[in-house]
Amino acid sequence: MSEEKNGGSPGKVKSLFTEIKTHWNTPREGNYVPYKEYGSIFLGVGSNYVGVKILENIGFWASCYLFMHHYKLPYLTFSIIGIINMPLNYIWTLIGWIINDNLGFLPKKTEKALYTLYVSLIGIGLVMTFCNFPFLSTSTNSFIAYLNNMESIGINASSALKILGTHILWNGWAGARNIFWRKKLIPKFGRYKYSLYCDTIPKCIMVILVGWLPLYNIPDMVTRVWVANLLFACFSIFGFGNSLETCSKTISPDMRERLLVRTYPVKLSHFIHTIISIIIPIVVDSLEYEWADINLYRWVYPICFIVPALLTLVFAGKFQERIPQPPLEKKVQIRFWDGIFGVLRNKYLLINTVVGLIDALGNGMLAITTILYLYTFRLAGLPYAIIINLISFAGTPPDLCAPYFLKRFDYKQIMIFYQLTRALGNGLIVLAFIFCGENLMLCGTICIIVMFLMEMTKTIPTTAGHDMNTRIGDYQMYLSGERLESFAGIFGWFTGPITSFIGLIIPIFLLKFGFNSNWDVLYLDESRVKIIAIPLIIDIIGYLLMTIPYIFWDYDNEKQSKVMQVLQRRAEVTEKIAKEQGETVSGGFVG
Amino acid sequence: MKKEKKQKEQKQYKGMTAPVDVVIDVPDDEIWTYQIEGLAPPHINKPFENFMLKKVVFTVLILIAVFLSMYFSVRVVSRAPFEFNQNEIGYEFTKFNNTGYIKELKIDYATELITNNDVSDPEKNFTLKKDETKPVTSIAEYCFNCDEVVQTIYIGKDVKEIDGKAFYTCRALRQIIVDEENEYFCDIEGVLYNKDKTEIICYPMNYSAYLREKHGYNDVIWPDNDGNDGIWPDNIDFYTAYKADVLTYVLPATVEKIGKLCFSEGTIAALYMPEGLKTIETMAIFKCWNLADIYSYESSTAGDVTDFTAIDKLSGVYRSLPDGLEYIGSDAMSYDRSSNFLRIPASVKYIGHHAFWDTVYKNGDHFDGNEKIYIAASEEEFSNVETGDQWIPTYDSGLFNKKVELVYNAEKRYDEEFTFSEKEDGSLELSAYINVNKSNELRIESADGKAITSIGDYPFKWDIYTETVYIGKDVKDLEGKEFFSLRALKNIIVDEANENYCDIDGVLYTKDKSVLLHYPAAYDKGDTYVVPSMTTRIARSAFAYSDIVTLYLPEGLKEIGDLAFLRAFELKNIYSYKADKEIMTTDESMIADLGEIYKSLPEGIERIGTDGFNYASSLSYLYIPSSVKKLGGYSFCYNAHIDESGNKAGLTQVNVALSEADFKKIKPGDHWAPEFRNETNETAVVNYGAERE
Repeated sequence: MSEEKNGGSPGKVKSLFTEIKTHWNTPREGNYVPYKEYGSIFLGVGSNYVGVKILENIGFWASCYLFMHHYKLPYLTFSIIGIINMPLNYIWTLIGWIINDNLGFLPKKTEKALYTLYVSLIGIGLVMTFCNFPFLSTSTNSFIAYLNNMESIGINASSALKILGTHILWNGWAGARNIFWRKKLIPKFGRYKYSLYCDTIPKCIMVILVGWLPLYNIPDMVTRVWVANLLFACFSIFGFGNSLETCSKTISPDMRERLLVRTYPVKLSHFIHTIISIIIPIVVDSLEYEWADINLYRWVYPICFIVPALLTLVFAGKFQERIPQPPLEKKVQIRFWDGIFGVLRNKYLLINTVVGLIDALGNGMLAITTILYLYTFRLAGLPYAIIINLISFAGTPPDLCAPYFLKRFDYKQIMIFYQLTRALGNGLIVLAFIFCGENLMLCGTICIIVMFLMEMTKTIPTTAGHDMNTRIGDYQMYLSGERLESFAGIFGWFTGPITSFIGLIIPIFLLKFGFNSNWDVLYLDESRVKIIAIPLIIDIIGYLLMTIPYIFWDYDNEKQSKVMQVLQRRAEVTEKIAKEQGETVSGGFVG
Repeated sequence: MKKEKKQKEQKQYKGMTAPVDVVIDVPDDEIWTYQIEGLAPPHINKPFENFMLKKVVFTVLILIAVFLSMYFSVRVVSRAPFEFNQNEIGYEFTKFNNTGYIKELKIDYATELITNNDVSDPEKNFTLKKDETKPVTSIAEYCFNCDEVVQTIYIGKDVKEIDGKAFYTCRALRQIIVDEENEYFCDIEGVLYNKDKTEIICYPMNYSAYLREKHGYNDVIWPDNDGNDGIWPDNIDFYTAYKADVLTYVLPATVEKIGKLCFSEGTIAALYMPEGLKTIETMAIFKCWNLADIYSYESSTAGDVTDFTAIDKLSGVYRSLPDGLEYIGSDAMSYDRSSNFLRIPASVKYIGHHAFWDTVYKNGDHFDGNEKIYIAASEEEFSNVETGDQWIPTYDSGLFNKKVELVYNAEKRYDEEFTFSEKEDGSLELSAYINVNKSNELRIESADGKAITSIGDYPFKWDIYTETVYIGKDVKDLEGKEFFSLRALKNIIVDEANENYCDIDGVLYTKDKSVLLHYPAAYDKGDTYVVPSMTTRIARSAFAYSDIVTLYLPEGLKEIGDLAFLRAFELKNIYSYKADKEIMTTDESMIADLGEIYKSLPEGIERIGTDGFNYASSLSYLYIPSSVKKLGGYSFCYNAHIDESGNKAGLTQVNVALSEADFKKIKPGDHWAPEFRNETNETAVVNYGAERE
């Protein structure tokens, strides 16, 4: 009896090798993804992920080291700018949804109207941003006086107008680009990858400029604020999202194949980031001012971003999304109300919204890991990098077993288990802080172990969640003819007031315990315990409540299978009709 | 066979990806309408029922939601300036949210801010309304947390409780002044104590700004970009004076406890603690980056004097934490990176976690800070002390950190008068001198039968007693700057047998008189000085801080060193002279023999060093001759200002012999020209191609 027949390891390896070799360029029958694409996914998603993670360190927010150490803007400035931009943002978002969920393909009249609007916005924005209005500094109008009263946080009436102008300029520019590039690139590259082709190169240039333009040396804080806002508006106009990973979620209409891709090439590709995240703290440790060194933004981050960003472009073209859908020329036109009522009919989005709402109980909480590493253990350099990566690695082995767990348990079971483990884990951390808070090593060690276990039990629910979100998109497509990923944002509008209200509670607690823009209060034991424990207790309540909505989750495997069949039939039939009518079509996929 | 396996799997597993074998038949004409069992029907390109009603309901709901979102977002950033809570003993001041313009605040009664919108100036468009029926009796923890504007806080007579953390990270705070009628608290020159001064509660974070103003350094030092006191690297000479005046604090002999966060992130560089001190609380001296000298003393007659002048009234001063200290809280002295000698007395019973964390660090290829910790007790005795985790600082050692060495049975260190280092040839270098005996004479000749041949870079501590320095015959390698911190120095006398140096009327020169090395700070032979005709260079910081008023420089002078006239506040007139004969006498009796006198720097001068005349603020006329080839940065920067009437004063004009084009060719250093430091950042007018008078 041969080893192969016996099922021995060498035999399995050999058959795996043969399998890969045979289906390197063409997928196995019933599958959609050849093994060659697995390699491209590994390198493409890995590079893309590294780039995205690096960008998390560069942005117009208070915790960005560039602002913390160089621009030195009060944290309140960012909130105020958010409020200045908030009202108009609602309007731009609504328009954006129509464009995005129609993939940029709008009726001619609508397209013309939108272009006119966006060009006008660019003009108005330019005038507001670059012209001065001296009367604003002397006016006694109460609102203008109120704005001028905020000079101590870097904003006055004149600069507020410039900030608003920048916002208008940004939205005009971004809106026009959005229509132009979607229409131009989606037929060729698909709905998820297209932005990489128009944004990556300018993004690389902006990453360099952000570090090298010495705008943080502008002595006047008011000027520094609006100029920084303008710089980062230009920076953020060019996106660099985790597009390839999103694309990989729709790599196949087959659910098991999707999961296989997510579990192996995608998950393993994250190791590239793990390596980078070990190297960066070591490099930073060698800089004169460590995280406060400007060379971090001049050399370290640009190099760490540009190399993977370019690799992303190279590998992006080597795999594709495979959503069963009619050709773009025959796709369903989504009008505004179709989109709104379409997503409101999706029961599963509603359940997720309720869960998200309860999850907001933890909003505003500080990252417990940061507190432990930096303020309890005082880690730096290599030990810091090792512990961070050890904990984030904890989730990897279970994640590799995700196909087994997802076959064995349904979504409802997995998610309820997940919420309960969070509640239990956080409960243990709270107890550790309350009962052994004075014994740093013991308390910290308990927390690290609990966090390690929590990380281990987190990845499978996360994978299940990602998978389910893709399925909800499929279901939405069945319901409305499009995935309506943008219109789904309307739920956020409804829950916004509640999440903002809840989000107020924890920061108020933190403020009471001394937490403000200076994190050093976390060195004070009594404050550290309160700052960690009380928000965690609120969070535990949230996790327990979150189990309730999942009881109503009934979207199972069979329903998903039927949905996919309907989508495939739609693609098949529309393409067939188009061909019969002799039309040229693009962007469709039958599956 | 495969089908059987699939069925078996279907039975066994019901998970998300378990195999499903269900095929549905969707007819071509039903692709947009086919409903799957258990799911809602598709709704594509069809009108909605009750469309108008749904639209209205949706619009109303979404508008309410958006409005509420915006309202809560605004609420996040807008808070009442003053928050009070009534408690059993009166009103507690719980939170102060500065409008950005309140620099002084009196905490006596519950206060309300009234805005006057008719005034556009945000600094003046408000008033604070007090409710005298609501006396403030306590100040809560973190009440002023992270305020960056308020500079002076007045504590009213009714305040009975103040949490030490109330003023945490109040970065602009210069003084806390307590009403004299208050029975529970008091202040010593703006530093908060309890009434009997057994506990120091808060040393304001920006107390140094108050001391700068008091000691005339107001425009000299300014916070650097990190909010720390900025000291120019070139001004190490000047730092000695500054450290004594501004960065030294002496705790009164009554103090038994340093409260939580008391000196946290303060700017002190030297701290003197009494032997009665029992407790240093958690984070009490946390992140005092400049704190280099930790002294303790046995007794004091200084009373409530807490600045450097009190040091003279202390006896038994030694380097160590004070004997009698029992409790050192967690992070008590962590991140005090300038500290270089730390001794823990035998009386200590508790040391909290991270008490001395990060007080040693890698600086290039060597370590700075506390490389060792000295412990008065023996190893066995010390084992009884309760210690928290990681109380011993660690330093970077390859991949992982190592703990610093603990030295047991360590004696306390008293400052020695002279510290020498022996050189290869057997002679001595005077590396430090502390005038512990308050002597007015210092002799640098020999010690233990060995000749003193050189002096270290900055060997003298701030000294207000030494009036005369004798330089022996063997001394060489002097630069002049060594004597900078001898503030009472009147005379420098050089042994005539010295082959390298000489003195002329108490001023130090090289033997050939080509270099003027040092003009004593308290020179008492007149305020006019004639530099001899053979002198070609004035050394670094030679006249710095001196009271010189009128100066005559020879035309042969080639160089004025860095900081040469720094803060020579009285310097009004600079003349150059072209004598036909050798000029050796330096007092004003010689003026008639000086020949041609110009109101100018000497023709022939080639270099004016960095900060050369900076802060010589009485100077009102300046002529820079065409011979200048190098003009250092900040050489005249702070020599102009806006006076109290708002007029330009000081060096409002600079006359330069060179044309503008030629002057640019010499590439003058940054900020060389006088600056007014007004809103428009004006600099003095430069008249190029000017003729000298």
